Amino acid sequence: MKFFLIFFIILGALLESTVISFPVMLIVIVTLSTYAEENVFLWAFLAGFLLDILTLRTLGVDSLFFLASSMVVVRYKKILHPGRFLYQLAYLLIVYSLYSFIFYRQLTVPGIVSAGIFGVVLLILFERLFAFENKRKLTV
Amino acid sequence: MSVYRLSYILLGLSLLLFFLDTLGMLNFVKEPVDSVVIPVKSAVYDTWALVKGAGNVVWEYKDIKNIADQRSKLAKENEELKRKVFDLTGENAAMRHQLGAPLPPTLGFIPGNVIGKSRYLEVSVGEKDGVKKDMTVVDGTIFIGKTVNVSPLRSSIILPTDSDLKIPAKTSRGTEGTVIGEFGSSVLLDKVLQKDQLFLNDQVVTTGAGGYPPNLLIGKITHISADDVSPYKQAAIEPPLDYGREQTVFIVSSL
Repeated sequence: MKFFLIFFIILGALLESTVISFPVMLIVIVTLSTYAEENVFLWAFLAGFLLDILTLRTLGVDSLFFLASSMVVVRYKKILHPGRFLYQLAYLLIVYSLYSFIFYRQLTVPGIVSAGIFGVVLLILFERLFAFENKRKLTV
Repeated sequence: MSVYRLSYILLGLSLLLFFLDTLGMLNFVKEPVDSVVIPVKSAVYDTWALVKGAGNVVWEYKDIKNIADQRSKLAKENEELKRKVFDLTGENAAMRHQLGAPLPPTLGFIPGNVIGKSRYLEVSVGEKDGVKKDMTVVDGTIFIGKTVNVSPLRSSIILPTDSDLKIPAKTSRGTEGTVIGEFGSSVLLDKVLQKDQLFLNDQVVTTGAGGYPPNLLIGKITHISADDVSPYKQAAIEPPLDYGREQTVFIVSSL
């Protein structure tokens, strides 16, 4: 799982900083926060740091935003848990809008729709992956 | 260690990084990092351009025949224009000699290879190559943007499609306004007085104000929207090139 996440974060950061003008990493971190409770802050910090280096932004800016976003998810776990899909989606879109406006100076309907679709895909993917991981741990 | 305690430590670390970088105290780390980042980003950007190009061939297959026809027509026109340029160059040289006019000041250029395009265009030249913040970037006579972030070996360029960039501009008929970006994808000529005239297909160029060299092409007018209530009218501008397909750009180092 760790290797998968590292690969996912590096690929996402490279694509976001080089060819896509879309906050891929933010959506990855917010959706990941729902499932990876133990190391979520470490992932958020590392992903933000990597993105700052690759995009030439001031170091620490993305880490701060990602950490704050994931802290909200962990703090309000009862509301934003995997069973409450619509709350998760609403939160994701709010954070996306804020981030997109601050860092990309753009907030469009196609962008919000894309963020929603991408978020849903990731939520499903992480749910399956973490379920598989937990099952594997129990078997061992 | 509790999860929350770790989060506070990381938040503190992020804040520390932010302040140190704002004060420029982490520049010594950026140079070795840049030397690793540049080849990686360059490879990703080139691969993406190849994939994008292959995709375009499939999508635009119908247009290829039209393009081929237009190409042969343009080649013919090009030959005629070359002949005219040859004649006019000779005439121009003779006029200069006669009037004793000084040659136009030569602009200094720093060529930079494009290694990425997200919100900003990113090039593989930085402070070490003489690049500074707020320098104009061109491709030929086409305006590309302005440098915003400069590290020792890399620079980011803000494009005309960005709403943070405001460029004093005029049309080929002399109507003045301000070019601003919209949603990171389109460009507008704004702040044009109602009394001033706008025409479709007119070219929009820099005025020379705002620290930009004059007469750099920004694009051509494709749509005009005038509202009697508003004090200004607007026009949509189509840039002459796709910024995402740029491979090399030139940073104007001296005006």
